[in-house]
Amino acid sequence: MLQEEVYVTQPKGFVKEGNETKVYKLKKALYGLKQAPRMWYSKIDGYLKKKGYMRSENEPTLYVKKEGKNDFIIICLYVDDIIYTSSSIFLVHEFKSQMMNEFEMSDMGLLHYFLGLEVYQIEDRIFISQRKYTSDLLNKFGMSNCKPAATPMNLNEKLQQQDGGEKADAKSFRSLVGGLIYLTHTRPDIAFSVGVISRFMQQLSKLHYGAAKKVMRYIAGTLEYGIWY
Amino acid sequence: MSDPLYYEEAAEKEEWQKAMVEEMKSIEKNGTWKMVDLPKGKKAIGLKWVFKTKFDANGSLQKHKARLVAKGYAQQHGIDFEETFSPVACFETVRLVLALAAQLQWPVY
Repeated sequence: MLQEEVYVTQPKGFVKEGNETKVYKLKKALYGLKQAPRMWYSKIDGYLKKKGYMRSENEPTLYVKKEGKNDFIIICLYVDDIIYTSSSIFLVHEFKSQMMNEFEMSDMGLLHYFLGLEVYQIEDRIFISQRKYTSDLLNKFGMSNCKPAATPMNLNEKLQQQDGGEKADAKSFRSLVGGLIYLTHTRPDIAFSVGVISRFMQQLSKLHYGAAKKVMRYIAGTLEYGIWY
Repeated sequence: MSDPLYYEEAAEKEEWQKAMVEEMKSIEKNGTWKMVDLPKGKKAIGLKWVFKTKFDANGSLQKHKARLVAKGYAQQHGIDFEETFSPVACFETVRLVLALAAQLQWPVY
């Protein structure tokens, strides 16, 4: 329940006739409210603890419950996204029905997609990739049809802070580098080159931008890459 | 087709009208709010409609989603809210859970 008194206006298109001057007093949080994430977390945290799930001391979004001698369920929260895995089909069913009844959650099938991460589970292996994210990123910078590069970086390339090169668009560079950093979650092969180019946020030149584009051309040719576990 | 940015744009389309009605129903069903007169000295925070067409990884259409959001940036610390905190798992944790699941041959949901 909301602790502070918060009032909101009536939404466009749904103003109640005869009550045009009234407002709504919130009893529960709404998206966008500053306290919404905290309220959601305290609600689900309280519920999980009550049901015997133990929160990790070091990672407050991770919960574990042990059943009998050898059975465990591990739960990982990401705001309103939840992934969970277990040795026991019983624990899975129990958790699933708890979540569906208590929080009206839907779509609790096998994990395929999580935070832009595509997940494939095949027998005893798991593959994660960001193929869709990568193609969206290439699209955003108009590089969908660029010529793929074999490597993410030129051999012996020496990028410098002040190379005297022509100035480049810093805003678009930051956005590009940010996009590439997010991609390193499933692409350790570009982590080094992205680390190098991310040091040139200030005073960047066309040369730095060129190095970033080189990484983009490399991922354009390796869209399907990801991590196998 | 890009998603509408404003209510006025969306109001002309049947699919978005339906999505907004859906969202209102869900808000009322949850007992999110109560209609009252604004007490003197209080300010009401504005609401905004946000429209998003959802696609799956293959790019096929999943649904039209209209979401009502509060303009939280207008809230004042100490008046409209006290504490904030958001629990976000770091990606390493997510990868660790996936690696462990693969190792133990557990399915992930």
